Amino acid sequence: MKLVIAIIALGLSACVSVPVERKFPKAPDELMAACAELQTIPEGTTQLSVVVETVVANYGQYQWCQTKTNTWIDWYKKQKDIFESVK
Amino acid sequence: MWIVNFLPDFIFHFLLLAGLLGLVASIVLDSVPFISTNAKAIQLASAVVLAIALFFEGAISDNNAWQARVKELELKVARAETESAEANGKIEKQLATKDKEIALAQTVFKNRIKENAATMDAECKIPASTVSILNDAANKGAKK
Repeated sequence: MKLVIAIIALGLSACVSVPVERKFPKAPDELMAACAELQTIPEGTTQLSVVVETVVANYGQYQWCQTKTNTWIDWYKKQKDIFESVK
Repeated sequence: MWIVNFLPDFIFHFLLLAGLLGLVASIVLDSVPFISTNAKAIQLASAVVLAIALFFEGAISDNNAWQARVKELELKVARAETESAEANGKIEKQLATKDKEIALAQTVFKNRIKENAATMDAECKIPASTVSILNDAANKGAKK
């Protein structure tokens, strides 16, 4: 019995915890914000200028979302490269 | 290895030395009365102590190798975190520049619309169905 206890104690003496902790990289706050809804034209509008203004604003909205999506792809690639460089 | 971290290394060095000395003494010093009478017991005890001490010497060596590896990895992780933060800084700057560019373009377009609004509105009247189609496309495209 004493021998068994001694063997178990010796075996447990080899137990070790993994001390290196890695944090998941934080993405920029601007990228974490959801894209805004597209603007709508006020009901009853008959003026072309109002329609064009809304369409142009929505183009701008799309360009911002496109930028964010492309930046997300860029961010992912860079962070993946950095992550994989640690071995 | 918690036991190696818990106990100082010199204890295992001392055990190794004691085991070796005990073993040598039990063989060489058989003319000494106490040792000659207990030679077998001393040999056995020394062998056990030596075996345990050797095991832990190996463990200390292994532990030191792992500690060195951990330190190396910690350095790499710290460097990676710095690189990651730098990459984020660059991305934030790019985003801020692009945001300004889009905002500036929007202002330019709004001004151009204002300049041409009178002509546009005089030449074209938008039917309600057009507004409805555009608004539905804006809303339902995302919501389905």
